[in-house]
Formats: sequence, structure tokens, C-alpha cells
Amino acid sequence: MKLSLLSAFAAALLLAGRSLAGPSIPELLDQDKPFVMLAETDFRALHLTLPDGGKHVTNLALAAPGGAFDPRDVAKIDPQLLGYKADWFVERYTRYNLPWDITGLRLTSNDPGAKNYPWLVIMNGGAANVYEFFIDLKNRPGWGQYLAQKRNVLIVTIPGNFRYGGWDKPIAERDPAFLLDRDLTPDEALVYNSVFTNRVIFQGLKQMLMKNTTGDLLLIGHSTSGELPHLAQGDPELKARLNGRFLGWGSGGPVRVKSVITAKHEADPKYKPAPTLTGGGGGDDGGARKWTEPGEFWLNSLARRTPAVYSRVYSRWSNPLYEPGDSVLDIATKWLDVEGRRRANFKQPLEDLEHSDNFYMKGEVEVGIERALKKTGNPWGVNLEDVQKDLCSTSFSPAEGYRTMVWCVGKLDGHWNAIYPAAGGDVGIAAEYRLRNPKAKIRVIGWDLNVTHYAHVEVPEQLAAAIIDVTAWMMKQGS
Amino acid sequence: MKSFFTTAAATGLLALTAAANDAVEQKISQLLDDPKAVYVSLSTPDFMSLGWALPDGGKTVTALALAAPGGAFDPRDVAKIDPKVLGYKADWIVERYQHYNLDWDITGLRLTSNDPDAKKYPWLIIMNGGAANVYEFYVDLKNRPGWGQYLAQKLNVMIVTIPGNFKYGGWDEPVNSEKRQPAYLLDRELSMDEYEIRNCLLTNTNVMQGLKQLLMKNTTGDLLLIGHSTSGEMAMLANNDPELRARTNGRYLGWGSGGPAKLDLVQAARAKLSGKPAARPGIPGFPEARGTPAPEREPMALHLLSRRSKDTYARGYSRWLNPLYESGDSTYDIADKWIKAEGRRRAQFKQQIQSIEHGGGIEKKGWIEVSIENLLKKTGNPWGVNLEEVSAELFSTHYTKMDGYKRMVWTTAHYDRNHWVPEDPMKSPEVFFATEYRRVNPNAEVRLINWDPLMTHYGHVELPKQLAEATYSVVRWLCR
Repeated sequence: MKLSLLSAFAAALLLAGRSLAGPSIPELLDQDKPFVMLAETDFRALHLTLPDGGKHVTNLALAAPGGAFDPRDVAKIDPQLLGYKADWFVERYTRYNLPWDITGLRLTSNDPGAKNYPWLVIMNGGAANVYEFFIDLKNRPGWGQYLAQKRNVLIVTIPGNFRYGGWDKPIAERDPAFLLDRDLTPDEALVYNSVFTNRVIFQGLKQMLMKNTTGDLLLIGHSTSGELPHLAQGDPELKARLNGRFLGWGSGGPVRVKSVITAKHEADPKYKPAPTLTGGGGGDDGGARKWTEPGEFWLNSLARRTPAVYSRVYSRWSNPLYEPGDSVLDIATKWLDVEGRRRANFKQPLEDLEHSDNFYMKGEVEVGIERALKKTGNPWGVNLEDVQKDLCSTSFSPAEGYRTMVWCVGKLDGHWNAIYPAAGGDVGIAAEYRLRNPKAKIRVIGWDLNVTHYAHVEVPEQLAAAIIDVTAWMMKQGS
Repeated sequence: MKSFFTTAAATGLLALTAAANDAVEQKISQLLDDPKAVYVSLSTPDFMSLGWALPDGGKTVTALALAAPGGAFDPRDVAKIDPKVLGYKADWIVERYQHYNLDWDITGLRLTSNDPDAKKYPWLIIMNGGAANVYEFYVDLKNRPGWGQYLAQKLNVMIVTIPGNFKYGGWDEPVNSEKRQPAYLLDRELSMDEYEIRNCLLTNTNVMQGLKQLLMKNTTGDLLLIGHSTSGEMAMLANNDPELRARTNGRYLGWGSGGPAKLDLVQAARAKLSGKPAARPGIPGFPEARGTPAPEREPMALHLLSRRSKDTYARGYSRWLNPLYESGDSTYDIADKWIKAEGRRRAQFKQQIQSIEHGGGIEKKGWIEVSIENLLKKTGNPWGVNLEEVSAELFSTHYTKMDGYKRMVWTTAHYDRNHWVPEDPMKSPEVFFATEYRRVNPNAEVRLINWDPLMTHYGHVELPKQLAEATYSVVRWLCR
């Protein structure tokens, strides 16, 4: 009998997919601490299943050159096989007198309980797009597919970063696909890249959300797009739908808050930056970047992804392409090779600049845009005045009005500090939000395993299950 | 008989003066008509021939000022003087408004001209720069008639003092005393905690709200906003406001005004891109261009005021047309006399936030937020100031709209070295600003006129009479 009870308990644990080594995610999030960490064992025990094991989407991807399958084809697959109904949206909108396309892959969960939760809106960072949030680097089921088993999901690709069939040209030569029905001329590419502000992206995002979702929202801006949820907080319509909630995944904080943290550090004679395991972020030289070095059209000089850049901190041992004996450069090389067609692998300097503390460069940006317009003759009638008023909007994101905020971070992500977790980037940002939202429940949860900024392609199933737990906890906090 | 000759002589002199004035006005108009000139200059003899008389020679106001300690007469007393004696009807207006959950007072001395033609022209709104106030635009340093009095003979004028810079009876405390604080509210003193937080909150958007309320409630019709010095930002910010933009009607008039701070960064970017040094050559002993970073200097706490001293005023502001100048005076002597003579009624301080927003130091946004946050924390924030609201408005001066202009004129003085470089006029800041506005407004008539006498940034206290007619001529050209 005793044995039978124990067996039943063990079976229950297995059924729950958990063999807990420490507190569960809700238990951790209930703790009002600067940060908490989920034990590796518990993270790895997280589990979700797909109705068809993901094979229909995988087959679609494997059949397409470079894995660049047409998302419209996903929409043709029976939702019963997928666990969700897929829809592909292209929203065209106008800003600065130019048309722009933004895309969304909407996954409406078959789970009737999904409607009790906000739409999870995932927005790619600078050089990525929909693919890496939907399938992994080997075309196996990705984060979005798992999430959509329990939540309604919309994966947004920012303008320029998705192209039907991917790019034929090498990374070093390709242009963003700001319009999906035609390629841009070199002059157009110059101007589009030069005026690619966060405000441009935000307008498209808002249109996408207002037209294609209803009810509450949770905006997950990955990496550079971490700015977007904070800009949304400044928009009355989206703010109402965010309902005081924030969910971050590799998101960091808005430049506005980062500059406040920098100012505090500068004012503190005792402050010394804590050593990090990673030696910094994985971006494009951060503060040392010489933005204008490429010359007068520097705004058109895209940051192109290379193995060297991606080996710094993004390519580690949970990467699906890692094989024993691989160096980090080997992983990065394979990554950029397999994602060479369907992934954008570039980022506009302006988007990057607005995401780092470079407000002082506003004048240089204005002059850069002016030069681009002058060179091309500006047949589109872009008004520099319209652009300048949008510049550095990220330095003005509101930081209050929150009730529940959770930052989720991988241990090897530059947003975390694996040596001194209390000194981690997102921990510091969350502390600033606590100051401004003293009644809010503000949490930072780290996944205590060797996953990077790209854990959504490293451990997508577990990450999805973790995020589902986090969102369930968030909803229990009320609104 | 003697009286007859005297009257006839006076009448003849007036007629001759009127004729001369007409000729010079025509000359100013012709100069401004030149679409190709980057800038034009009015000669010293022409400039010096300008000016008209006041009905009472200004003596009634002068008497009022001389009777008040430190010349700090009550502007409400001006309103009691018969308009026929002054040439205009004076009204003193205090507008209270709320910003950042705090009350603020902004003042205006409204001078409605007796000249019926005045209504054909826009209201001329003069806004003081950082450390000044209404007085120096209304009387000179010896309490003789000032620029505003002369202007009001022909134009409707309002002299605006930004919040904090006017105090009934002036300040008892010395300029350098920490106790000398801005009079943000005219009916009561504030605690030091409140002064300190307010000193950090005097953003240009804050001032703009008060200015707009003052203008919308107390003037009608078109406007010409003259923002002197630091308040040059105000005229540019008004272009962002639909209601004020409609009333400025595409016109701009500058006097020692410069351009919006956003152009400082553009100027630096152009210089960097061209590989050439910054446009303005360095002048030994003269203040650096605004916004020039001084990394070697420890930043002053944000709530502390920048206080005027003879050293700073000797550099470029005190020269030989100053009413207090006497033969043999050094520029330090002039500055010393000036600071003393104006020690009571003139504010003589400037909030750092005003200067920072007027310069290119937008990288200081984080520091400003932290400074305010710390003060709010220290004081417990009994006022309910919301830092979020402040953050959203910081550096509005870097987002001023530059388009929509039809006619713009910058007026400068030969020796206003923050705006004019007599050794190499093409490197003058005002040349740069006007050029930038020409670029954005290619169909507009954008002009820059320099007054050739050795006037400084404070030409309005040096040659107020002549400057008034020169300004009037420019206004007529703007409205022709």
C-alpha cells in the first residue's frame, strides 16, 4: 500500500512532467527578490508536446531551399495537426511618406483555455525574423509552435527582415525587404535604411496588433526589439491592452532607463562594473562602435552578421548545431551557414543606435538622412522634419503604470551575469522599475543552465513551458 | 516770438528726423529684400539716426524707478499712469498655471500702443533670457526709457518674464547668496527644498505652457515672438504648438536669439562630416560656444543656480555703449557697476536645466533624471511631482519643428559675440542658423541683418531708442 502510494506520487510527478529539484516557477515568482533562478534540472524537466510532433512544419521547411518555407503554406495545414490555427499577415502602412510592410504569423491555439490569457506577441531582434521563433536551426519545432499549444501567439517580423524565399545574395550584399512585393532600388534602400527608426516599426506593430488580435497583450520584444513593449506603454490604446503587464525574454530595458542606470553609476565613486563571464554583449561593439566611420551614408551601412560576431556570446553548447569538439566559432559558422538564406542577418545602424545610449548623435543622424535624401533627389517626398521628431523615441519611454513585470533570462545571456547575478543587466533594469512602480510585482527569473540570448532556438520546448508557467503566474496576480 | 522760433525749429527738426527715419527704414527694407545675401548690415550712422521721442520723454517711468529701492518699481504702478503720458496703455498681468503638479507664475507687462496703426502689426512679444527680467527691456540701466517703451509707441508689445525671474521689490539677498532664489510664486516664499526641486523643473516645456497661457489669454491676432538669449528656444518651440503656430503665421523675428538647441548637434555633425573645425573660431578669453562640453569641470548639482558675476559679464556683455560706461573704465569696471546697479531688481541667476536644454548636452538626460529623482527622494516629494512627466519633456528644444516659415529675420549686434563674429561674419552662429532654416524652408524669405554699432548682446540697454526703430522697420518688412 505504502509502495502503491509512492508509485502514485511518482506517477503524478511524471505526469506533471516535473521532478522538482527546487521551487517551481510560480513559487519562485512569488518571492519578492531582486532575482530568482530556476534550477537546471527543473528547467530541463519542463515538457510540452505537439500533436504531430512538429513533423508537418519540419517537412515544409526541409523542402524549401535554405529552409525558407512560405509561411502562407503553414496556414494551409490542418490546425488539428498543429495544435493551433496558423494565419499569415502582411500589413502595409505609410510613414515618412514611404510604404512599409510588417508581417505576423498568428498562431491561434486549439486550447480553449488560451483565450483566458493575453496574446503572446513575439517580436524579433535586429537581425532575425519569424523563422527562429517558429522552428529551430535544424527545422525542428520551435518556441512558437510549443507556446501555441497553450497560448495564442503572434510572431512579428519587423519591416525588412522577412523575404519570401529568403535572400539569394550573400549576407554581405543583401538588402532588407521593406516591401514584400518588390525589391527596392539602391536609392530606396539607402533612404529606407536611413530612416528606419523605432517609431517606424512601432507604427506597423500597432497596426498589426489592432487589426489582428483582440483582448490583452503581452509583448515580448527580443533583443533590440526590447524597446517596442516600452514604446507601447506610451501608446494609450496599446497601454490599455497591456494592462500593466510586461514580459521580457532577452529584452533588457529601454534606453531611457539604461541611461539613468549609467548616470547613477557615473555618480557613484565606488561603482565598479562587475566582471562578467561573457565579457559583454554579443552585438556590434556596443559603446566602442564607430558609427559614422563608413562615411556620409553610414546609416546605410548595415551591421552584417558574421561567425566572429556570433561566436562571442551567442554560440554555445546548447545550440542545436553544436557537436562535441566544436569551438564557438565552429558553431557560429554553422549557424550562419544554415540560416544564410531565410534569416536577415543584418541590422540597420539607426535601429541599433536608438537601442543604445546615443542620444547625443541625433544631429549626426539628421545630417545623415539629409545626405541620403539629397543624393537620391528624394522623389518620395520624405520630410526630414517628420523623421527628426521621431528620433531617439526610445529615450522617452514611460517607465510607470506597471502592475506585473517579469524578465526571463538565460544564464549565458549578456542580460544576465553568471558570476555576479545581482549585478546582471536585467536585474538592474528591474530595480529601476521597482522604484517607479512600488506597488507592482516585479520579478527577474534566470534559467540556471548554459543557455544564451538565443535559448529559444536552443531549448525551445522547455522555454515555452517555462513561459507558459510565467504567464499563468502573471495572470494570477490580477490586473 | 522766441517761442514761435523754438516751436518751428523743433517742428523742422522732427520733420527732418522723420525724413531721415523714412530713408533709413527704406534702406533696411531694401537690405532685407536682397534674396541672395547671406547677411546684410546697417551702417552705424544709419542706425544711430534712428529713434523717436516719447510723449513725456520717459520721465514718468524714470521717476517711478528712481523712487524705488534698486529701481525695482512695481509694474502695477506703471499701469496707473495715464496712457497719454506714456504713448501706450500699460497692464501688468500675472498668470498662474500648473505644471508637474506645481503652481508657477509667469508675468507680462502689456503695452498697448496709442498708435492706431499698431493693430495692423503682430503683437511683439519680448521674452527675457536666463538671468534677466522685464526691467531691462523697459528701462535702461540708468532708469531711462528702455527698448519696450520706444517700441510701444508704434507697436503693441508684451514683455514676458519667465517664471522665477521677477520678484515684487526685487531681491534683498546678494547675487551670490544661496538664499536668493527664483520667485516662482509671487505671493509667497518657498522652502529651500521646494526652490531646489523647482530649479530642476524649469524646463522649456514648462515655461512654454506659461507663455502660451499668457499669450492666449491676453493678446489677440498675430504674434512675433522675440526670445532673447536662452529664451530663443521659446519662439522655436511655439512652432510646435498648433495654436501658436497659427498666430505666428510663418513669421519669425530674432534679437540675440540664435537657433534651437537641436541645431547645435547638427552643426557639430556637419563640421565632423566635412572634416573642418567647428564654425566659430575661438576667441581668447571669450566664453565657449553654448553646449561645449567641459569634461574637466566637475558638474554642478542640478538644483544649484548659475549666478551672474562681474567676471562673466565683463567677458562679452560689458562694452563701451553700456550706459554705465565712463571713460577709462575697463570692461570689468562696467560689469561691476552693472551687477551692482541691477543687483536688486534683476534675477542674476539662471537654472542649469535652462542652459542644458539650450545646449547640445542631450547625453545628460539620464543625469538630469537621476538628479531630480534624488531630490524627490530626499524631500519625500510632498508636491507629488511625477518624474515620468518631467522625463517625457526633457530636451524638447531638440525637437523643434523647423518648417512652415514664410519670413524670418534674425537681428544681431556687431559685438554680440555669441551670435556674431565680426572678424569673420560668415562663421557667425546666426549665419549658420539662418542657413539651416533656408534649407528647410526654401520658399521662405530668410534674412539676417546685423546692426553695425559696437552693441553687445545687450544692445537693448545700450541703444534702446535706435534699436526700437530698427526693430520696427524689420517688423514692417516682415508684415509688408
